[in-house]
Amino acid sequence: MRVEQASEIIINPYITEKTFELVETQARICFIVKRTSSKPTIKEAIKTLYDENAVNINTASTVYGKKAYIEFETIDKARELATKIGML
Amino acid sequence: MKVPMLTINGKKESEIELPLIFSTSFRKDLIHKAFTHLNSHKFQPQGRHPTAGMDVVARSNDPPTGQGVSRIAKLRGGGGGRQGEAGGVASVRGGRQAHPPNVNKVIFKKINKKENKLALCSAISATKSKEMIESRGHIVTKIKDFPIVVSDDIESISKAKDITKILSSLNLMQDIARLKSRKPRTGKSSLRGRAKKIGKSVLFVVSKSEKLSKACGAIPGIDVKTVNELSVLDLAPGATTIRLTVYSKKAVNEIAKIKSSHLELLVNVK
Repeated sequence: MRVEQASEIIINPYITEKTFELVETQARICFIVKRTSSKPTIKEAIKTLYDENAVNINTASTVYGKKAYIEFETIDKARELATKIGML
Repeated sequence: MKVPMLTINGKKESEIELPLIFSTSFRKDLIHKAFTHLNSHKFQPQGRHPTAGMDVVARSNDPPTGQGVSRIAKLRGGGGGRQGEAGGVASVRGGRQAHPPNVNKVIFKKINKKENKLALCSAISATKSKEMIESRGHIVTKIKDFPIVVSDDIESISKAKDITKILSSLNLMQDIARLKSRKPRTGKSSLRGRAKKIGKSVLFVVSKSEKLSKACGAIPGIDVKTVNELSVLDLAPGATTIRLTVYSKKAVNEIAKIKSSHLELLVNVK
């Protein structure tokens, strides 16, 4: 997948008190993704954009857009990525 | 991350360690937001005269019982001229606009300082990706390593003749030639004298820009900026990522001094 395509799928990180805690407790980061995207494409987009492996993805379509709760391998990796994207 | 530092002849001189700012992740949403908000700072307020189309004495015959005429407002008076014509309201010839632009509308979009800084860091970091530079339309087939870092000699060049030699030795001339094939625009913008539009090619980021901006002045599409002046407007024109950028060695050292809250956290993580 090209970076251009990946950046269309991953729109922005969704930062709230709840998602903020998820980084430290469950190694998860919540992103708002494209409505039509699927779990495998989200996984691929995360790999191309941030060079990290997504272990598990849960999605939820809400009024804020499609949320994707992405679990990373370790809490340290999730924390580092959250810092790089300016979430923390 | 290390990248080769080139001489002005295009040969590899040594390697330079990129500062931590280059490890910021790509945030397309923030870059887009920063561009649209910063771009609004140069908009001029626009509006019509407050009474345009209403400087007439016009009244409607409402209700026009039994007179066989419409209910629209008509100009009063006699003796020819416009008397009897409809006017003073929207939807008639010579009347006012329905919803004209207003000078009191706030068109200045504010952006948070930290958000702007993060967008700038993300844009600077994106200049290391060849794929993203190509996605903006730049032609960089002959260049291998990004970002392009050149020795400080480039800052002392003040002649256009010299800079064209350097550009060709750095394989940047093919991107500048790209702008020549641009067609003139059509339609209303063309009729109003805005047919020609110059694109954007190489951006030089240096520590002092006096001499180099003089040398590059005649070459269309090239911009020279100091690190302090650098903004998302330069790095992502039209909010499309990302522009082909050449840094001088001093500029890279100055970029390392940019402060942002996420960079402080990155130091702790590493």
